[in-house]
Amino acid sequence: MMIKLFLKQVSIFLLLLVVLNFLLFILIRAFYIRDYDQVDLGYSEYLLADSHGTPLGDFTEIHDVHNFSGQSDSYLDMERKLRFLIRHTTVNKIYISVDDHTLSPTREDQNNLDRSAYYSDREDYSSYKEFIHDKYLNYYCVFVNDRYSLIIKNFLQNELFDISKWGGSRSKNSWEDMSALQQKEISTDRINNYFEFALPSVVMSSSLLRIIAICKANNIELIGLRFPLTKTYLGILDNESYNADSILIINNLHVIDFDSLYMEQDYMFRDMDHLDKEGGEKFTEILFDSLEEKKVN
Amino acid sequence: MLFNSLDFAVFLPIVFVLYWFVFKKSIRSQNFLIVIASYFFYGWWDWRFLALIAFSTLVDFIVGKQLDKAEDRHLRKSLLVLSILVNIGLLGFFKYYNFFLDNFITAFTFMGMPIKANSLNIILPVGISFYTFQTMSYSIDVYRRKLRATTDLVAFSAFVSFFPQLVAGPIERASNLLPQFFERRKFDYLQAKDGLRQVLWGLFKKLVIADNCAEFANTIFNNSTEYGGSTLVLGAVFFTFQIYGDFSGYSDIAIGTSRLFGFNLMQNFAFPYFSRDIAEFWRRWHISLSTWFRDYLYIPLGGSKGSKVQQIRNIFIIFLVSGFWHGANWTFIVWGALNAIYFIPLLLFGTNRKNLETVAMDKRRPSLREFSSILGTFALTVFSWIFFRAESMSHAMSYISGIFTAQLFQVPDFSVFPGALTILILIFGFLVVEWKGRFGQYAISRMQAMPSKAHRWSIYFLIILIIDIFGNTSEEIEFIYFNF
Repeated sequence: MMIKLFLKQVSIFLLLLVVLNFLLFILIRAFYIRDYDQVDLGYSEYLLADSHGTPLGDFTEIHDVHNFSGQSDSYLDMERKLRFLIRHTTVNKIYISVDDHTLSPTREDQNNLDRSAYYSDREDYSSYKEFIHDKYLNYYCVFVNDRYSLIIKNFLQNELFDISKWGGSRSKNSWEDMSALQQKEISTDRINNYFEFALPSVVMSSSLLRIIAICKANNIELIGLRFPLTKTYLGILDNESYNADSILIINNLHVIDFDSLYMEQDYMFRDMDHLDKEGGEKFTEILFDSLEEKKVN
Repeated sequence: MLFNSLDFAVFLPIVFVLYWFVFKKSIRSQNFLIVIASYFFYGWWDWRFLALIAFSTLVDFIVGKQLDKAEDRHLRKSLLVLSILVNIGLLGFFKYYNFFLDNFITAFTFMGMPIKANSLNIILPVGISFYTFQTMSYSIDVYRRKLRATTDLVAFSAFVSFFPQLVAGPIERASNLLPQFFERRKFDYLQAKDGLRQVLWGLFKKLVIADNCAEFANTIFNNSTEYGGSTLVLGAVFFTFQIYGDFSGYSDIAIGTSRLFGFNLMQNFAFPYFSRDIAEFWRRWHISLSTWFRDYLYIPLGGSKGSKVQQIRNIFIIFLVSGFWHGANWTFIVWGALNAIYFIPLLLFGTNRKNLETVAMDKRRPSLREFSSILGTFALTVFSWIFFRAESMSHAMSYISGIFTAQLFQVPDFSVFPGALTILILIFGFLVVEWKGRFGQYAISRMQAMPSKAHRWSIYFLIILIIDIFGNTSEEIEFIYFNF
């Protein structure tokens, strides 16, 4: 009798925990997932990139290309998105980011696997257990997903516990307003984050190879893009690269290199290797003009 | 299997349901299930060392039976020596072999007689210091005729291997735990609820306090030469809370889990950081080990009887042995000696039993005198933990000399440790809860008295949320005391 009461109480408690989880998921969805699960399937050409592609925003749609980029997207995320597109629409062309850092082992930890699980299906997983874990448990259970917890923790730490922000200004310096020393420091930090290891990630390389194979098997044209970088960043980078572009070139695929396009135009950038919105808009024009030129030639 | 793992979250409900629904018909079958579950729990880590537990169990079971029957004094003494030799032998081989060997080599080399010997790559079986001490207490109690030997091997095996406290205590006395394996168990709703609450609090201590403090303590201790005095003090403070959260958290989970199965284990921690002197600290810290040494070593040595010199000798012996029990390293021995040195003035002035009651009885806040005593004792404890945490004596000495520099009076650079301020705020909140709950068995034990269920449950949800957000749940960090 007593044990039944105990189990009943535990069950009610767990049920309420599920409700709490649901409420937290609504918050997570509003602040973290946001429009990551939004895709327009009415296109036949898509841009797959990480945060280098996001400043291009909707400007690509003028050229009938849907920008399907996501901040911190890894090749594993792009692979899931590509498979999703193939399952749900007719894809003719994919533009993919092949920047210096995209095969970095750092991407094995810094990616969107928790969010891109939304685009996955049973056939993308080797086991049913893995599918249930990634697609449902990790995606919907806030208490299971460490990334969700980290986001709430970082929010609290940065917004509430950071004394420097109490009553202070929150505005960030734009890239062009920074001193040369600041630009150097921030660029060095970024490069140290991505180029900590000598060799590229095997996981990312394999995923890129699978993307190439999937495109070939489905008659999808795959074009590699290298996005513009600032002069400071390029100077410190000093030709360091995990050579994702070479993988495409070896497979006889086109790669268009724009990394030194805006070497002298810092005002186009939000930081050392990301265009700002205005830069994104202008770059979109240049990108598709150059593609047109290539076609004509 | 770790308490803070998903494996345990699956294991516990299964054993609970089997225990109360499938095996409920007899005590013997419930004990049998406990043995199977406990061996499975231990074997999850390394099944090879199950043989050691089984061996220790069998030896003490047989010795106990023979001790009970034997009347001859010499035979009884021999049997007791056999039990102690086997248990200390196991401990000595697995835990101290390389330590003694290394020190012999160093000593002979120092005397100009260098010797060569091969050290063995010995794995320390988890929990060996705990279950060997538990089984020894059984043999000693039977020898002293304080306890009748059991003839039920299953119950005795369950007593030795009881999974909640098998790997890191509390080190139960046979006279307390063993009889519980012979009593008919009736599910107690309030006890089970209290057990779950204690498990929750234990998880909070481990995942939020200990594991977060560990991150900063490890960074500072592992790179101690790079930091100034105030940062090194901060590192020692972080370790002070890490070890408390880790070990008392484990004890809370162990005690709470046991209550789900109808067992009462002894309290292992009683808010030690609110102690007003070091004697009080040792009455509140790792109580099951302190009382073990008191009953089986300190009192047989003469305890507080005899001359002052004898008393001081006894204090030194138990603290040195206690230090050595923690690990085969001179740092632990020095840590023990340091605590003995802290204790001696209290003994000499006869004030070691001055603070027997909980601090600030019937008051919300401590008096200024009490507060300064607590702070002083805390400072002494933080200092001694440096030896406990250091990798070697030279590391400890360089850490301490690093503290006493001009930078001691500078504010630590928190920008180097992102998140450290958040943890300090959490520690402060934790101390407030511990202070408010200091009269209970654990900090939130008196929540049961709250009239509103909604209020109670809201607090539980808040604790779960804090564990989820601030707890280090992405990696399963082992409990420190697994190494002892």
